[in-house]
Amino acid sequence: MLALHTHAKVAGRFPAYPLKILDLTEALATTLARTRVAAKLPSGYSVDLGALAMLGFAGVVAETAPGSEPPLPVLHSAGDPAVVDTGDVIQIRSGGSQVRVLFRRRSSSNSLFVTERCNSLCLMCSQPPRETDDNWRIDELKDIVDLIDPTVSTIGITGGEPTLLGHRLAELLSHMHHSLPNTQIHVLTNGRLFADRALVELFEGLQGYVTWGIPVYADVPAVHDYVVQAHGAFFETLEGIYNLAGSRHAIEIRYVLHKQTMARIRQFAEFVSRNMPFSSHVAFMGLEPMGFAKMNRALLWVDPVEYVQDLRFAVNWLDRAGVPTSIFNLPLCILQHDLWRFARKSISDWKRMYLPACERCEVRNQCGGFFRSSGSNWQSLAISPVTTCDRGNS
Amino acid sequence: MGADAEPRARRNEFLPPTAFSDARRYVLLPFRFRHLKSESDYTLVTSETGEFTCVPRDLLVPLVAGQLAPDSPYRLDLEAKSIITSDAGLAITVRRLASQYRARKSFIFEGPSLVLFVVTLRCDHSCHYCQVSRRSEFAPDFDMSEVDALAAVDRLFEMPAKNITVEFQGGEPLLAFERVRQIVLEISRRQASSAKRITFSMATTLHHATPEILEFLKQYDFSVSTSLDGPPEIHDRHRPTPKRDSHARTMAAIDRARLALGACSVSALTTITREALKHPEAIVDSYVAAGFNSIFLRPLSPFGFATRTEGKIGYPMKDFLAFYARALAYMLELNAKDTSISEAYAAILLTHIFTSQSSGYVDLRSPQGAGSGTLVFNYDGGVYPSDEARMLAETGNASLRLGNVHTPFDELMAAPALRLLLEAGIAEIQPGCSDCAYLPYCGADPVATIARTGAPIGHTLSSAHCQRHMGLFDLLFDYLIAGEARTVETLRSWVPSHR
Amino acid sequence: MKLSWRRYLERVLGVLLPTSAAGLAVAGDAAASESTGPQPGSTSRLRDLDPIPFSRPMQLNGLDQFAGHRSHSSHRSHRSHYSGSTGTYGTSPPATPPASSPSAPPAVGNSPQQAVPLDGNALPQKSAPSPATAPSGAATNQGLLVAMRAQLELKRLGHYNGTIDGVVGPETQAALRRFQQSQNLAQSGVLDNATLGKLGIQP
Repeated sequence: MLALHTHAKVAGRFPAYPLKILDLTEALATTLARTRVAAKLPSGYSVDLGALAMLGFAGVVAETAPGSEPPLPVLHSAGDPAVVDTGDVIQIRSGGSQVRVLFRRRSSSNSLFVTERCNSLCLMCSQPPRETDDNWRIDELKDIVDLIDPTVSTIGITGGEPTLLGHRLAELLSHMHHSLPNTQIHVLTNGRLFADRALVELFEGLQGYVTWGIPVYADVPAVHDYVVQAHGAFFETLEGIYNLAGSRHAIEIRYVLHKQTMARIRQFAEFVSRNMPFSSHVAFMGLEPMGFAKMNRALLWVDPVEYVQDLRFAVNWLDRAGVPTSIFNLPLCILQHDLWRFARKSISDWKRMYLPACERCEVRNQCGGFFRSSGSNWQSLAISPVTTCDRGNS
Repeated sequence: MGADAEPRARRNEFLPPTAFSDARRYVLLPFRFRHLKSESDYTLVTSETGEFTCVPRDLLVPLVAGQLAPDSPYRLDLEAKSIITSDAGLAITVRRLASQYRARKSFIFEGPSLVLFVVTLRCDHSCHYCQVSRRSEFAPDFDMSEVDALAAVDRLFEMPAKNITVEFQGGEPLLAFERVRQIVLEISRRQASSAKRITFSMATTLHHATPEILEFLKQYDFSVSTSLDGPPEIHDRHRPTPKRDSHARTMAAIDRARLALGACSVSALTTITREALKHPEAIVDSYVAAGFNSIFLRPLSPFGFATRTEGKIGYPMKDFLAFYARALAYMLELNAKDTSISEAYAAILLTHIFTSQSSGYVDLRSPQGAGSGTLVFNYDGGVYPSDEARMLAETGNASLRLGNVHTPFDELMAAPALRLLLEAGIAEIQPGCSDCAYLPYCGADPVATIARTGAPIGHTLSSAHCQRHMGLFDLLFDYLIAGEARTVETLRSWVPSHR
Repeated sequence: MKLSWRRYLERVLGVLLPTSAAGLAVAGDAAASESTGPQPGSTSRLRDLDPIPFSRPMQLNGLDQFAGHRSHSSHRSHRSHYSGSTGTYGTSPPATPPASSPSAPPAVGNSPQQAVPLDGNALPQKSAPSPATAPSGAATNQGLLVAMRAQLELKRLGHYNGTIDGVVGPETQAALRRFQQSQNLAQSGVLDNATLGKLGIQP
């Protein structure tokens, strides 16, 4: 539950571009350009900042303020020092009062945000779109990519709708693949624009390195189009999926579970197994109470216990069909033992929390927990700690 | 859509569901139908590629006339199952259907991938229903010669398929084990430098499986299939050995084979005779007791020498179907009590029903699988398109012989007999099959028709093949449409999964 | 009904049986006026039929972590009549097995991130003035770097207690001698290659 930003003080003036934080030992050995690196000083050591300035570092990160005017910029007195750690990529803004973490080495889920624009308007959108010219983001993201550890296994691409960037998205993904050849790129997209094969061709050569995570909310257009609030979206998305799959791209199908999608969960599973058996993965996702979801709570909220039996059927159906399947964002106490092998700790560490009831739960460490944004009116009545006798019986 | 997204959201103007449900006309896609007997108010409809749902019988005519009400509760399922679609959805729906169709029929590109070596006709059993013209255990001149065996291996490596199953049969193949060994070694030697993946199996009584033989079978990862007709009274009745102890010896042999090869590699099947029809539960129980989780309830074959004894042990297909229905109901009861037992043929049919996978089962395909999916190398060097065709020759009708093992593969595939089978073996254009709701899941069997009538195309609906499959599909769909959750899950679990 | 059936067969069977499909005549579009046939315009889109293979494509890594626990392979039923590949969607190479079968589900994260929206006034700088990978440094920088790295390591090992300044002064030399003694090296007090090697520093 570590935040992605903190406040701090700055002595001197840091550059505005993204910076890599490395503890001093790693900073001195890095192959990155030192002008992109801020060295984190080990506490209790006396370090000659002049030497670091001569070496060309962009600055240092210290616990406390420097004595006098330092020879290079110093970021100090962070509100939450744990937020900025070695390996992280940060951006310092507004004279230091705002430190944003753009990449966190310790996190299992790093994402790059490419645009606020979207061509759908999902009822439960957690990142409500804004119509704004944000083409500049790609350039900044390429800078960030240069500072990401090549050992990271997955990086997400998200928005808005990334394909609205067209060839610039392809440019970013190619850049990523070049800098991070061992990293799987996972793009969240509604896939609608891939109904045009010309767009699919822009991503030729990235097959195997990119997975396209595409939401499909039903097996019929009436339901899907309503949830995404766009006429024709279902057919466009399917056409896009087929065009991508026809070019051997990897597809992940995502299904958000709420009141509008719960009626046809079983039929959806059969639809996927018959029409999209090439799917690399299917994810059934509990609802995140952010953005539009809050505004539309009356349309969306349902206690997960009401659909968990249908979910059980659907997950087993797809599993038998040989499609790798997961359940995201639902706690283990609601899922019961036979479904645990499908449950993932999917809630990003920086937005995850546990409830007081979880203190006594024996599987707390395996459980993905809850969204920090979920108040009591977004919590199932069936949440309860799992004890040994539960595990034996289920 | 994006341009006005923000202002609409600020005004809380999310459009209601009615703005997105298509009340307009719909387009029909090709489908077939069958009125259900068990639920006479309902009709099963199946799409071109085997997706299925049911509608009330009195809705069928309005459906076809384009008058299905926009708010009909059946509309969404019909749309999801590619029975109807909208104009806007036509292109992608047809593309989906085409892709499913392509997947179902992709076995065509492989060519023969199941190859049977009949290494000997000699056998120590004299089963009453045997289709094979068996010879006594010690008769000479009924084994495959070395020259023919090696030529057959040459043919094998001329085949285009990458994955091939080689099955040894007889008589009793273990009576000619040296020939089996020779063939396996030769194939393994040549496989090393080819891209093919060849797996071995054997249909055997297992009575002659010595430890050395079992060791060899294990080394080459054999699967073995044996005959177990049920409890001793049933098994021994029609499978006589000199000491009348076939059942006991079979059980002992199964145990030894399981120890040596692993339980997963040992399977068994039944042959159901007139006597056995009275005891479905006992037969299932005997398999469960023997530690099997799969049983193949196989009806009598009308081929070969079995026709001689048909009078004593035969029965009309409807009697088999009644027996099967009882056995299946019993098996479902057992599964509900957590005993895992599946019926192997139902599993094949359910695979065809629930998936669009290219069928691995060569005997139920359209275009038919004899010759095009499987080849038989006989002990005398003859090459046949299927085991049934070989048996036909044993009873005097060699019209389906494709050639001999020294004939190059391409010539064998161009044999007039094979062409005859393929022309008659497309169910989609056979009268009787072409409008059947079960067509996507079924197959054509011109070899059986030739055996019965002398011609490759006969009256489908009165054939044993059709009666059997119609009956089995009717039974399975009765359960699926009734939709009892535990039963559907059990039946679904019988489809082999590909994790 | 006939129109869509014929057109469909022409397109679909054309994938598999070109000779038979070619013979099929297609009824004129005028017949499309019947209520259940497709609209005249829409049939032209059928030309893009283009069925796709149903096999799963290969992947670098990543989604194996979703594979979950794999149960034992199902009982192979009676194998007679089965061809080599028991019903598959095609010849994609098999998925690589998961690296482990965890009792706890592996960690993963893919829900959309809550990005802090950047305020519109902040015009980002263009790319950093220097490329991400370092150009070869000047000789003095190199020496400074190596010396600072050595001081850090000596301090970590407890031989050095001074400032990390990259200057090999008396304190640093003394620490080097202590380290060299502990490593059975010549106690030169100098950052020679052998000493650097033992400190784990590649220049």
